[in-house]
Amino acid sequence: MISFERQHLGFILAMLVPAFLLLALFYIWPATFNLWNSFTDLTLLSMRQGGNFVGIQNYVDLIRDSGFKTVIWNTAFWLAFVSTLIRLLLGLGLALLIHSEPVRRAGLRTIARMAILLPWATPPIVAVVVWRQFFDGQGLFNQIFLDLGIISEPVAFLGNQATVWPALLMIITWNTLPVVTLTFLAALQTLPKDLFEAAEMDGAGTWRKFVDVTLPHLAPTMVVMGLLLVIWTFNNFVYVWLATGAGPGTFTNVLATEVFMKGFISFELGYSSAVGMIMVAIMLVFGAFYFHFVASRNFKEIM
Amino acid sequence: MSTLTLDRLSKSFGAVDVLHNISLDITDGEFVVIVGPSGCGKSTLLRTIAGLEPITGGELYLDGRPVRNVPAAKRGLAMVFQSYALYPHKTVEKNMGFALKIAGEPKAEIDRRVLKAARILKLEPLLSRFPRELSGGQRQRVAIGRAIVRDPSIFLFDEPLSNLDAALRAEVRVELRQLHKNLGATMIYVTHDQVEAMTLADKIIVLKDGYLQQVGAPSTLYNDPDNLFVAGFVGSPKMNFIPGCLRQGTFLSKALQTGPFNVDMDCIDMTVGIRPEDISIVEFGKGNARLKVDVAEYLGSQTLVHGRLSDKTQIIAVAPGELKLEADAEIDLDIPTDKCLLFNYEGQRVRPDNGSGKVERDAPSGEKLQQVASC
Amino acid sequence: MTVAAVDQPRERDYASIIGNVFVVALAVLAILFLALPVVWIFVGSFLQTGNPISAGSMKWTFANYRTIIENDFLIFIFNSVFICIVAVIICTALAVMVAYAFSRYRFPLKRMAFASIVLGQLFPWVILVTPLFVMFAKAGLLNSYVGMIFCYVCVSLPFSVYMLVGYLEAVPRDLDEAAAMDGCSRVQIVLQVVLPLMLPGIVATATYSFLLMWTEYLFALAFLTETTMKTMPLGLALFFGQDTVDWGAVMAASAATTLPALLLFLPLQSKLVSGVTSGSVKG
Ligand SMILES: Nc1ncnc2c1ncn2[C@@H]1O[C@H](COP(=O)(O)OP(=O)(O)O)[C@@H](O)[C@H]1O
Ligand SMILES: [Mg+2]
Repeated sequence: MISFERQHLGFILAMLVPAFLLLALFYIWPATFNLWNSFTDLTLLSMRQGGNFVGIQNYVDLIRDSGFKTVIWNTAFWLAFVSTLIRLLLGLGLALLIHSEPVRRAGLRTIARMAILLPWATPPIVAVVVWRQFFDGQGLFNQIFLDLGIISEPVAFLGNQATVWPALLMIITWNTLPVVTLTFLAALQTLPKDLFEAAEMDGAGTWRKFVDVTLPHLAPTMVVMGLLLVIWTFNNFVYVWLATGAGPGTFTNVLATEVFMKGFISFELGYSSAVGMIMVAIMLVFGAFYFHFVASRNFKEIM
Repeated sequence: MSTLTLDRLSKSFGAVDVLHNISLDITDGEFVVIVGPSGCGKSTLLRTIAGLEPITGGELYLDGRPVRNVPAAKRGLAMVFQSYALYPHKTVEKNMGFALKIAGEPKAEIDRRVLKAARILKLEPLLSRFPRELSGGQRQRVAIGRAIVRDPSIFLFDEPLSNLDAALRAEVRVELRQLHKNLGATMIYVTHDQVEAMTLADKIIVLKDGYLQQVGAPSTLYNDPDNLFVAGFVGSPKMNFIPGCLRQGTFLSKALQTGPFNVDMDCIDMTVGIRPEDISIVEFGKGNARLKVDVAEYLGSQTLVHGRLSDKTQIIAVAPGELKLEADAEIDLDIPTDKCLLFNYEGQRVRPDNGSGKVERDAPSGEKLQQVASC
Repeated sequence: MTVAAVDQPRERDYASIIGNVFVVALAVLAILFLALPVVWIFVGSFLQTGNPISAGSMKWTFANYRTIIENDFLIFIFNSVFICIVAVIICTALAVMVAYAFSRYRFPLKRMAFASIVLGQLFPWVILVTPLFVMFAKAGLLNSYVGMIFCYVCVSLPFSVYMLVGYLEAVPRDLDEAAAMDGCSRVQIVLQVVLPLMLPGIVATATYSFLLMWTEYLFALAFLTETTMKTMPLGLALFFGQDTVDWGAVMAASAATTLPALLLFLPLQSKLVSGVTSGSVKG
């Protein structure tokens, strides 16, 4: 690493300034604008003359609003917690399955690895589209369930409060499971073989080997992956918006869709900005975790 | 070919001072080896010479011209890296010719010089290969070849042999020496291995914790070290050190009494250094020190006897041929006074004839003088 | 005793065979679950109804593709390709510069700069939409290539920098120094030594950026309101009517959007996986 000298300053600035100017324009300026707006009653109509300063009124309104509690619950419980848990468990299971001896002997390992790439390469909007067809009145699931006699008339899976969250999570899981699985698979490939042999010498059975060797080896990956999944899903707008439009009603409304709807559809810009700032605050907490425990460790040399 | 002068050169990384006031002259055509334990700043010193690290104090002169602010690319030096640093995407030929290409030499000239260097190093059959297709020894040659092609004023080597196995290392060492003779160029070579330093160097520079310890020919460092560190670092097996005190020209310790030394001082804290090969094992009762043997290592031409004196000082003595000794056996040693080197409490050499060991300079306290008197 | 001794291993054999069959069956199910929707899209795109299970649909046809082409889909393709390619080139070039400075130089505030790159990766883009809309409206950048390219460059810059720093760390610094000794200037070091060596990394990063942009929906939705400016994901959403859905057209548009992504993904997979593990690639 080249130590800092005055003579390098020009070169370093030339390398950094263009990119950071663009990033500031794209992230910092709008975020600052957003922060200011969150203290005003700005709406579309008052766009010209600007909103009035209302202090923390928007935040007070948020906390009082019962709809916002649902939004927080949906985001924290369904999106962040349940979906992450499901994907971690399924991803781990699938990775172990693909890594397992019988699957290798059946010649399925390569096929499975190929199959995994398919959902990953599918754009989120396409994923939502095809699953919407599956969940449609004439779709695959209704056909199957009708034929099996489980239901007597078609169900609108995405329009029904009882089924909409599981259906939504199914879409998200399908589209993003590959990343989780491949990450676990990569970690499984680096399992220390001699550790297994040592455990075998100690008389450990399959289960003990899994608990005492495999799981501890995968634990760091699991934590990092979990953190990333939470952040990605927390920020994600596309799945909920395209699959349900936050519906039925506002039943599946989450923070990202709330920001978009309040800002872009009902034009309550002040309120929308306040919701956005809450998102930013939560993201900063996760981001600090991520930076401290993952990124800055991965790149110790350059710090 | 040219001369290099360092004038109180210092280097720090932030708050960490790595090199302290290094001054030295390297004359034209010399083979200079910088040696010291790892982490002492050898590579840093070489890299400041190369221009890869800016210096933070002092000045550096190439042929009398200050080059402190001249970037590496413009100093006209060539460096062989420890990792070889061959460009993986270029063939051997392109690797060797790269500097000339950057300098804008015509293709014919590049080819001629690459071929000439390849012939010197017997690299001709490998010219069209990529570095990944070469063995460690071959890569090492290419790295040297890349330096030769440039016909630099000074060659810089940073532990170039450390990635080779022992046999190859000895072979390349000889070849490097020959290369130096044939090219007649100035070479500065960094290593932590004192054997390499002794065999290669015209002049050795010993470095410790960023301080220059001694500069001199290999034989000077071996026979006439300036301080405890150099004495212990140069030579294998290591020099023995026996602590004690000096009184009226005689060295006294619980285990050894020897003298007279032509030194006009009394000192409570004095160390005698004696090389293992200067100690002889003598008939029981005829020596001046008694050794309790720990182990005797038979090496073929000689036997290394490890043991302890009565004051527990560890000693190694070299006996010719094979010598069978039981553990805990007691033998007598002759430690000849004229081979003993004296070091004061700071570890500095006290030479018999010069005045460097004056009592005033050593300045032991009154209490210490008392102890000297009683020891 | 003897009977039991013979039987026991045999029972275990049966158990393990059944276990193996179960494991393999699970794997087959998983493969079906993963692959079926994609197969479905491509099959459906050639069926009149767009739905392989609806009655009487098993007649192959190009009608769906004709429909989407008649509905400006070629323009959407052009918009997507143009915006993404230009944005990828700009983004990757900028990212290489930043990553090189990060990887090779010390400078004040470096840790903060790197932290902001990492936070950029995790930032909730949705909150930027309204402020950017206002900004774009003032600057006349709504419904413009320039506006979208700006967005996409900034969206994928943090990822690209992070990925490229990783690839650069794999190029030994000794090589930079050897090049400096060989007389290279700073720019020559980058162009002649570092760039050729990190080319695979640059290709992987650029491809990943491209995919990120290719599938982007939110900013396109907000800033592209004129039909002739829309990108493929938006164009695809157009075929969702208010009440009825032309599934055939939707499937054809989906297939057209997915195919390039698939083709880019396959050669890149192993690189992306290592990117994920280091946290630089998004799911
Ligand atoms: N770029 C650097 N930044 C900070 N400290 C460094 C740097 N390079 C070397 N050092 C420190 O300087 C000292 C000398 O290093 P070096 O010259 O590589 O030693 P040697 O080559 O003798 O083993 C070491 O303590 C090392 O930690
Ligand atoms: Mg070194």
